[in-house]
Amino acid sequence: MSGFLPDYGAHAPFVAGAWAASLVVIGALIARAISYSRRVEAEARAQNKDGA
Amino acid sequence: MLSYLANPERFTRFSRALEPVAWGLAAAAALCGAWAGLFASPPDYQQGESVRIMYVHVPAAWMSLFVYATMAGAALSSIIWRHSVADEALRAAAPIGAAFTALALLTGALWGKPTWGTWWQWDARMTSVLVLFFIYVGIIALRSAVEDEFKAARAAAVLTLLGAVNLPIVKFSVDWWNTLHQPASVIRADGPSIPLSMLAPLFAMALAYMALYAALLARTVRTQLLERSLARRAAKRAPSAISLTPAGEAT
Repeated sequence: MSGFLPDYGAHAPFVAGAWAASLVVIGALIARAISYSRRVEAEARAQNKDGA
Repeated sequence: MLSYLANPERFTRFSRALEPVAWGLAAAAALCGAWAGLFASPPDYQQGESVRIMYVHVPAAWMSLFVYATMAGAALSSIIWRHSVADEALRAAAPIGAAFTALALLTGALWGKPTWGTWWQWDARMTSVLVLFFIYVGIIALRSAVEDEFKAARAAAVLTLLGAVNLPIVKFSVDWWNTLHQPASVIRADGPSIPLSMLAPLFAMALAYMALYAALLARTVRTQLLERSLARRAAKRAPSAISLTPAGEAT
């Protein structure tokens, strides 16, 4: 073992790169969905307030 | 089931119930998959340690096809039954599918370099997946380029159905042409040719991606439906943009 991950030798940067890319893409998808729904829900609350 | 969910209010209720289950399942499966893929599974006798890239690459490639297949189903429902939920599902799924396809291409390149000695080859599987990515981008661009909501949904649905021709090409490209990719090794008539120690992280990550897709789709479609109803309400409240002069001419 070296550090957090086991020693993958010469393949280590490729393995780490692929898993990091997955984390980034999945994180971006989640962040996009959450920020979009928060924005629209805030809009709905504002509209309900105006209408009330 | 599909006709039940075609009602926006019922879909909203269903998606609220589904979402936490899907997030939980995605997180649990991703943790198990990461642990099994990075620590517990053995290196491959040919690929060595780079086999660990397969546990994120193959599920992403499966998802690129699966998401497109669900979009084709939504496009068909949209064209035949004109379900607004189907339109919204297609619109919500396209960027997710494009992201999974981009991830499959990127992780494939990261696997190709140490294993084949090259980041990219114009072989049938890789080229057809690249075409799939361009189809996703084309659908997203077309959907946002047409201003009229109804026409945009119809155009995107037609393009999605046309693009579905590419799905069997991606799937069977390894059988129809000589490619660098190996033939199917998991979904085969005589069972997988991969040992359980490698199948476990593969399926765990595939389950994580599938649950993530369900959670993202449920949340995004619900939000789009809400946005649509807000726009309709705002349009009803807004005073008419055209006022008439006493002479009766539009200003």
